[in-house]
Amino acid sequence: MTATPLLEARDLCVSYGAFDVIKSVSFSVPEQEAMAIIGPNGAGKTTLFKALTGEISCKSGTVAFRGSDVTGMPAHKRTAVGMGRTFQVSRVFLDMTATENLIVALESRHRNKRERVGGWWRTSPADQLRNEAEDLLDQLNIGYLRNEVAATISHGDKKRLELALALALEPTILMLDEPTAGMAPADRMQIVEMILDIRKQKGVAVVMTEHDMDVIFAIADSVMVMNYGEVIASGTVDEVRNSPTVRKVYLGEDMYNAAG
Amino acid sequence: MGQRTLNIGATTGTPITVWLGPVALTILVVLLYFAPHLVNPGILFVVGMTLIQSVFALSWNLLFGYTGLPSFGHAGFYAIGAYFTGAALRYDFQLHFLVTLVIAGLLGALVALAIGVVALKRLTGIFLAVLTVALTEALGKIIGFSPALGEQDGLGNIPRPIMDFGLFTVDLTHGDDYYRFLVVAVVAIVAGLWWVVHSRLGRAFRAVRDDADRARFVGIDVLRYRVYSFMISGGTAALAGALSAPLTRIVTLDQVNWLASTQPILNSLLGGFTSFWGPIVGSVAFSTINYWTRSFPGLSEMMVGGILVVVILVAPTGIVGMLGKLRDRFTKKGDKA
Repeated sequence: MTATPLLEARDLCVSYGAFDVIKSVSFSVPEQEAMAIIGPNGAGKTTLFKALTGEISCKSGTVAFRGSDVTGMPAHKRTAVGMGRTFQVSRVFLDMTATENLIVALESRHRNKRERVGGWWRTSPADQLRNEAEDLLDQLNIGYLRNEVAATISHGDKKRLELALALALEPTILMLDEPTAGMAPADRMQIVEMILDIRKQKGVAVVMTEHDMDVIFAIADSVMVMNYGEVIASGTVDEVRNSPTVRKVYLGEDMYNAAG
Repeated sequence: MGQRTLNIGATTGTPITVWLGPVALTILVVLLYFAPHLVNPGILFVVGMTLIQSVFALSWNLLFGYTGLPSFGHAGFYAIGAYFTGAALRYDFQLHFLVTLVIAGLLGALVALAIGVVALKRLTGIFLAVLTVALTEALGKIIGFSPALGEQDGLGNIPRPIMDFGLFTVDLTHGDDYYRFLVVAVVAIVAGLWWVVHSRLGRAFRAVRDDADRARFVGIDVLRYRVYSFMISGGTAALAGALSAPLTRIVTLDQVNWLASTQPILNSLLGGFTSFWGPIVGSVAFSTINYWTRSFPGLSEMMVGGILVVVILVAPTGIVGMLGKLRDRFTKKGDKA
């Protein structure tokens, strides 16, 4: 690999007080690739996510995005340059309708790109934005929710809406923190198909944490395994699946037998 | 029923209800403008103060209801406007009255900017509320020791302005004339705030209030929008104060303490902080109760207190929220029939 990786972490350390949660983690994600971070609960996956997206600051180490250092960049700017994310427990604007949620995101995208859609005096969003919002909802199969207030929609639909919010920003990398957590198996596979679709259509790279191995095998090109804040293995899906250390720490023998 | 169209921030409804609002509003404004012919000077003064309290409450609610930031010291901004305008008129700063108002608003916004840049990065919620109380109390103390601002006695004998526009002059020295100017000014300010709340700026404010972290991750600079909201709110509160000085013709320390700061909060909660019009409805309700119970000292406080308890327990969205629920129930019945 000679090309600059899309996202690169070098010797990243994060601590909560005296407790080191992430201990010198390094990895890189090439353009258009999908990487999954797995590991037992408390391994530091979500903390690593927060450090990568700028939600918390790192003790040491660097994060680079498209070759430029973003370690000290605030979260909203990282979002503006193309890092989209979803949360483990999905977060959307609960008081707004699904369409309004997306319009806020679209307006923010245009603002950050210094594009003007519709006059500044307008009190209703431009038709162009409304259409784009509704297209996104349709794309994620939640078009029927466009006028529903987000607080009233189901958990699975909130996950979809959140994915739509991230997509509205036209990211080059999608950071998904457990995209299928708490979903029914059928919904889970639907989300997987959506993510695969998005990758095929837009070529976005993906970094995801996930516990469901089926989801990981379906989406990820590479896997990084974490335990106690350290990377204990990384490689292609097959390499990781066959690694004895990973089996011991995370997958367990049953999983290995089932998968193998 | 056809497909409902998206109308952010406003309720959607049938064509009748869509027209009802603007028509009622126009009638109200016309009535307010001609009120000097309709009511006695005592009531006219109460109406004028209610208009000012409405603007004051709206300014507070832009911050709380639309951006999610509580200020318990909003009287500080009001006092900045009131004392500046009072001094400008009393000591004749040789400023056009409209310029005086603009400067008063800018002063409020500048103070808000200073507080915002220093404090909003770290403080939100209760800590911000306490900080604003402390700053307002400090401002009160400073005014209390300033001879030019009347110390404990307040700044009295404030003359009403005469506005010279070159080709013509507008004389506001008579109470009725100043009242009419007040109506026009208040309508303009309310229209401005309505625009802010419903524009893309207002949508960003609402996103920040709803979920600041989520807002960050759709690329909204949360701190910047909180400061914007604080500035618009502070500037508007200062404008409310500025408009009050020539009406009351005296500005006192009573307007610069935590009790005065609770007024816009009570008005907003009573009327409904989730609605743009709630703070105005609350201000009207509050003034009405005060006026009806004026000959029974203590009764108005008890009634307002009682109503607030009911509002908070039964209808946290205030009078407007309660009316909205009633209307929904009514229109749903209508649909079935």
